[in-house]
Amino acid sequence: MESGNEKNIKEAGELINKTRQEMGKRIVGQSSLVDGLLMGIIAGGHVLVEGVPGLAKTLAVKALADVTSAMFKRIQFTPDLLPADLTGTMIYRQQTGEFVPRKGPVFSNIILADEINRAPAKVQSALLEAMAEGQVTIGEQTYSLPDPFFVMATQNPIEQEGTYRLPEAQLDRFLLKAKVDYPSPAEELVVLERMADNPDIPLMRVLDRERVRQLKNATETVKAEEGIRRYIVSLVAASRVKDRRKLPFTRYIEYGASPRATLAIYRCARVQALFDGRSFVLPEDVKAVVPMALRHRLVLSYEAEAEQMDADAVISSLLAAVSVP
Amino acid sequence: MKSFVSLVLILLVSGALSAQAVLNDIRFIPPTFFVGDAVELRITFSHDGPLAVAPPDSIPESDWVDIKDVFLIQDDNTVTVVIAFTPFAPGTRTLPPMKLGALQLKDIKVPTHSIIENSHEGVRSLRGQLLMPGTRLAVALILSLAAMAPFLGYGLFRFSWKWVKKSRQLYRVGRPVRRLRRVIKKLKAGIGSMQAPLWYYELTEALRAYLSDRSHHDCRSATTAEIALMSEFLVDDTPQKDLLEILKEGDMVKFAGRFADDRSLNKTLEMVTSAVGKWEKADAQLQ
Repeated sequence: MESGNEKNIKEAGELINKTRQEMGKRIVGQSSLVDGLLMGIIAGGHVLVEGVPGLAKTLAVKALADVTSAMFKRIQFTPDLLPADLTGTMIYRQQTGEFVPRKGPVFSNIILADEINRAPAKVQSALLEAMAEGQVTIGEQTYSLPDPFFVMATQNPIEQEGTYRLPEAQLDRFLLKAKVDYPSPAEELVVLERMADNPDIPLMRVLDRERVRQLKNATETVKAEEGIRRYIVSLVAASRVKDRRKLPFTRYIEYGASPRATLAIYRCARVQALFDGRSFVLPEDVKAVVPMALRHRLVLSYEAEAEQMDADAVISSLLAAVSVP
Repeated sequence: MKSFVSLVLILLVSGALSAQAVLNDIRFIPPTFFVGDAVELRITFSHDGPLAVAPPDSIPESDWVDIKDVFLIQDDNTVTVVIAFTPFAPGTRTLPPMKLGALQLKDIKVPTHSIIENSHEGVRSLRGQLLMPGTRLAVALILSLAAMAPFLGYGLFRFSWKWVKKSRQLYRVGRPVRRLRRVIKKLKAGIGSMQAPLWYYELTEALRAYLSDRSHHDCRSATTAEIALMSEFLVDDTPQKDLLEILKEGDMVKFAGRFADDRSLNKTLEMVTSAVGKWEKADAQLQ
């Protein structure tokens, strides 16, 4: 006989699957991106997405907004963008002769911060502050951001000229970083057949504010035993080891992951278990989320750059170096 | 040569005697003698009338011969002169003349032999030291062994090295299972006193180490799901599949809080022992 918790978990798993299916009507393939977005919104974090233009990054966020029945805003980051364009500002109302706040696009449930690295640091900071604190101050008044509040920021790995690279401290505020790659030829054929004539496929709203909260609550009931917690800490600690003889791959890491990474892995692993309809975390859940949670948090060394090692390759070595409980 | 000497002697003696004495025999005892040998010379005459013979008054001396004695043996018709001497020089030399009463002996040739065959040659150089019997064979064997020593040494070294390598390989091959069996023994003793999740942590850690060594995949850092995708673990009804099931059961006890009593832990150990035994046997047959 199923317990209440098991039932909630099962229902949550089914709801997630339904959301995936619904988004899959518009997004062909890119399952890691879709899962990353869902993981971000359920875990209450924000997602950084990196991929060349045209890989359905915007479409994925729009699809998520459509299936969530949430307010969606897209902000195109440009070099002339100001923080007030993002958060809002005080405007003078002539009729009453007073200043009233005009809330910016950040007051939405789902935000697409497109090409975040094209805006200057002060704009990036304004958004990242809002992401971290869940509130925005306009004038002397502080306003809470709506719930759910989910930001998906995109970065273009090419065309780096005239961009403002996100500092490590600000990258750390993203729960996870998803990488979007080109679809396979088979997937691209499906894209062609499905989207060529009717690009705006209608989606059913399967998530709302209440259901997102249910998913969050279900995630909190997912158990992560001590062995799993120790495993997560061992992985993050291994990224900070400086003894190259003990862990040879550490020569590729200049700075390891922060305790915020430990928390991110823990939260994401629980959501990953929920994806599979489980009420407990397994080591495979941890391994599944580690690349997404760590790839933007590791500062790679010059040796890594010289040997053309990217963060994912280093993370693979890290995962291979730590024993599974 | 001897007959020639005798003939000369006869003629000489005949000329010195009166007409009544006739030389009958002349004999060296021993017939062939060498320098330093004691020799007797017997000269026998026959006579038909009285013959006045007597031993010499004094024994003559010479630098090549030592005449020790001269005496006569007489009967009615014969007389034998016996001269005992020792020659000290090789070759044919003449005895000094002797007067034996009415009989006078002279030009008596004495052929003395020498152990040095060619007396004209100089003294031979020193011969090598005499060796004990078998010495040459022993020396030859030792030299042969010395010459073969590098080859024998190399062969011995290679044999020893192969033996050491083989032994080390056997030790290494058996090490994972020995290690696992030690853990199994410890866990068997721990049933009842250890908590089931901790018990499974130890078992699965040892099992992962064993699987890593046996399957040559890194199972230490691989999750159960990843191990299940490895080629060795895809075939049903194999020891590998049994061990995979134990890993899955371990995950449930460790992470999902599944209850495991002492009986199920004992059963798990039996399964591990049986599966490992089968795997080892199959491996041994392959080798």
